[in-house]
Amino acid sequence: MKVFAIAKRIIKQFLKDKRSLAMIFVAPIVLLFLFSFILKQDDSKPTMALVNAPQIFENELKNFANIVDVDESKIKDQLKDKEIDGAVVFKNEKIIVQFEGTDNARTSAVITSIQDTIKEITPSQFELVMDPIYGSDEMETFDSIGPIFIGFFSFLFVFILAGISFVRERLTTTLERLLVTPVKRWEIVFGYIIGFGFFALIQSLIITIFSINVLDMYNVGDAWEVCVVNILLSLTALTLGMLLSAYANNEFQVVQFIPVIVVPQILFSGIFSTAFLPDWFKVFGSILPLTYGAEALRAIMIKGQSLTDIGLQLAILLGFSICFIVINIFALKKQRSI
Amino acid sequence: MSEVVRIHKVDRLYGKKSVIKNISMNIGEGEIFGILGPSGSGKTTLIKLIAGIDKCSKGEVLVYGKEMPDFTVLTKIGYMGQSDALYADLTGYDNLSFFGSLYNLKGKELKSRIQEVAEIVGLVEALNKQVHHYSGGMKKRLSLAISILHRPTLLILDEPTVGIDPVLRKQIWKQFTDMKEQGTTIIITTHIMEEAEKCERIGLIREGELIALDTTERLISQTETGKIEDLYFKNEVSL
Repeated sequence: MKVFAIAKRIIKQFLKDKRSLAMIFVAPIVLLFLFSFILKQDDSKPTMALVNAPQIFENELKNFANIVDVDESKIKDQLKDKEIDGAVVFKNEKIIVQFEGTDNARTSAVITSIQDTIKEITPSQFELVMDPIYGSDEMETFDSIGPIFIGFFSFLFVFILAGISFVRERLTTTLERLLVTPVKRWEIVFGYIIGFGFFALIQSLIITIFSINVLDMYNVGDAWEVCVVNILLSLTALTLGMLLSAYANNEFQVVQFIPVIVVPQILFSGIFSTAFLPDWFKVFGSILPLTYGAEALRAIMIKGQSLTDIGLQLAILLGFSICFIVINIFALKKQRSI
Repeated sequence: MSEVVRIHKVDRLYGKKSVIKNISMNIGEGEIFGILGPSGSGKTTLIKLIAGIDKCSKGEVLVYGKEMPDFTVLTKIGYMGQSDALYADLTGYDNLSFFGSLYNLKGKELKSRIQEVAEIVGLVEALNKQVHHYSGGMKKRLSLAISILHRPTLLILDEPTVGIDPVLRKQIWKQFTDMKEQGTTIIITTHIMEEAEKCERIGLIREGELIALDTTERLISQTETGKIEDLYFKNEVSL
């Protein structure tokens, strides 16, 4: 079948292009590695007070925090004065985590240290209760960033490579030559999807395994489900890259799309809170694929949800891809009318 | 001689600029037809219309009686553009086998056909080298090999022997005449006069207009010096 001939050719071509191989496989890993260290630096040990804590908890928490002795009645004052970053009170089968709540870095440091501790002591019979002095008891500020980066890097590199190789197909006029053969337009598009999909698949596997097993990213979901989301996200990146390459006259112009297409996606991906934005502004986020990819990844990795829980996000991602595929097939009409 | 290509009152506009102006011509089976003209005269546009990768704004382009582009006709056409249109990362063999499979060539047939065309263009030894190690002439030959791989009955070539040395050029022309003998119709664009002289009929294009269309002999006899390029400078040529 012609689709597979095209896919095979792309795979062969790609395997000989060492730099692109490095870009799609090695670059995300190196970047994730760097990011994880930058993020962990924020994660410096908070100073915490413990009340009625079991010995096992205290021993474990020592690995993640500096523990100080503070009288229960003075905890609130010390939190306000920022002499301590947080306090953990064990009461009625509950772990009450107190913190000041205005300083994101402190808050997340406290929460992470406790999460890490609880992760080590399983099973935990205690219920975790967040009790900030100010602000809400949301605990997602910090750990949510990891999954977003996984999604972001999958998206970015596949987008660039797909865009560049399709633009190159036009520049070297091999596309013209393809179109004087009796190949159908959809066969070209699907050939590309399978050929690049092969590498996107390997990339998702590498990124997922590396993030969870080597970088020890917080993950309570199934790793293969993380992969599935990644692949769907890569598919949107692939089809969007191909589509936009139709509007680029050379490789350099594909790269110019990055700030326009990719940067806004970071803004809405959840790294920055969008909770208090006006509704009309949130619309921008809802038209960007990474928004849904990041949401789905966080749901799996942080909330431990399964694919069925994030069906909507997956459907939307798939919808984006199908939409881009159709436009792609249509856009090729510009080169040949049938 | 049956008609392979029929171009009837064709205009091609890019925006407001018209690149092809009211051209009509027919090309018959087994002909070697030359489209001659200075660069920028619309030669390439004209053959793209024939190959179906461009659409005329007015008029009609029929190949084997069908309006282009048409999938059944595309299988019969071999096309070689001005630039080489090769995958530089792949070997010559991989390039050939890829395009071959787009024409539904497979297995043994594909292999033996690759061997055949590689012999014709003299690339047998270089088949397993990556194309970016090829010289300019080798790329051109590979490109030509791809265009004849599926035994097209209509071969459309945009300046095929530019950058090819005289010895090889002679060889390739011998191939063209052999193919013609077997009934292949060949359309060639060129601005090289000696190459034009090898064609049986010539259409002369200037600024998108067909200014002469006749057998090569008769066109030459119309000139005073016996050189076709004189036609470029003549203002009026009787059609």
